[in-house]
Amino acid sequence: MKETDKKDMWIAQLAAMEATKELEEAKVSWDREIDIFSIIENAGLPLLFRPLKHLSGAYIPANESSDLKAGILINSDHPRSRQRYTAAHEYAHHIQDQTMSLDRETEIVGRTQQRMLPEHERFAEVFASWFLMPPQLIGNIKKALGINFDYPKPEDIYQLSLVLGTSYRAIITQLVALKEISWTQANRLRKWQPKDLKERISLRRFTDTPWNDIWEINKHYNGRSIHPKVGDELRLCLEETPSTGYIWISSDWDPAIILVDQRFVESEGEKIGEKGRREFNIKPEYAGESSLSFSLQRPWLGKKSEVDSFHIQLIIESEYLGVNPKLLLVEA
Amino acid sequence: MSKEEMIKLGSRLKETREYLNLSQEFVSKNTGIPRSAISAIEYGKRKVSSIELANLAKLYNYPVSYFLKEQDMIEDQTLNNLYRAAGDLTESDKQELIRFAEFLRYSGKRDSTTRDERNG
Repeated sequence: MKETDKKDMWIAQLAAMEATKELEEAKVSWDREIDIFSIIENAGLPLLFRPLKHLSGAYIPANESSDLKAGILINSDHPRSRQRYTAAHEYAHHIQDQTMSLDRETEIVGRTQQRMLPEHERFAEVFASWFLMPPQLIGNIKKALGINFDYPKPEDIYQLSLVLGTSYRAIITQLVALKEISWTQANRLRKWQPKDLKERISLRRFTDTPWNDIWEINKHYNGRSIHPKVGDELRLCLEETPSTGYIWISSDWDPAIILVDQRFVESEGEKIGEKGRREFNIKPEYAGESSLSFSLQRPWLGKKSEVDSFHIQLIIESEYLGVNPKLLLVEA
Repeated sequence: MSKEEMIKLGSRLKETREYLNLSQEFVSKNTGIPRSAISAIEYGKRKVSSIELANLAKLYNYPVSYFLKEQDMIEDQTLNNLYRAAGDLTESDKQELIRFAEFLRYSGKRDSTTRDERNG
């Protein structure tokens, strides 16, 4: 093995170990997206979102002689997945050597191009990947959502990226690094852009902003917690057999969420009234915590006839700008 | 305080609130100053009492002096490094970085003042 390869491997191992240590210290849950913004704020680092032209983010270290506190600046115009990655990248600079960092591009660049980066930047890239996409978390979500990495479908990998709160490209690169998928599979997945996948899922031309996503939610999401954004589309599909009289009914409806439409789709080859799926098209309207609850029941008999239920917690995100007001109250 | 000074103070308060992206409702709720008064203060149409100014400065995490006088340019190694590193960036990005460093400096100053006060 070449000396440069050995060094590369050593930096990657060190960054992965540091990320794991930080996650354990933060006592994260291994079944939902890593709350990187809270972790940074809990570490006492002010985090500010501002519109920037050519910067993804910046880390400014503390300077005791002038009372300058360390802090992280994030581009408020970037999509949320990218902001999260930038935040983890800048946090790595704080963990590693506390040197100033102005990051023009923080999106994951892939192993080959990573070698062109200085050592501390390579450390930050690997740290960010392992911090937001640790193997334990990927493994748990993959299992819970029933995703098969032997034959990875682009739609499944896109949904995985949404649940993890990372970009589609970043998760592919991390899956290769973790040897979950091969280079060939990764290259095949990379041929798809998130915009194409959104169009394929929605069966329409996707003209919304890159900020918004389309979630395909099924029974595997029951009991989970996800972070959709205001304006995202949530397509909830639940199996139903109308001839039995049992249909999916929403038990309560939060005004922060809009039910755009619902319909029953028959499965191919089934007779009318036989097995199919009920599709709910939902849009979160306001930021905040909410939930969706559905009950499979005979409507004329009510709740007592319930034979199945579905519940999902929604933490609806909006675009961030400025500072988290809660932090100012702590300071005050 | 002259009318001109009132307008200058008000505009600095408004600009800081907007920089932090705080709504007038939020500021009103957490300082006890009515929303209409915050609006009038920010447009220099109403005098701000020393208690009100202290409460606003505390919430925004800036010292009261920041709103009352022109600030000297921060001179330290971090800022010099920042200027050097930001050489190829647009003017607006440079301004954002300097403004952020300023925010961090005042946050740090407040921490050290609180620390000193606590230590006696």
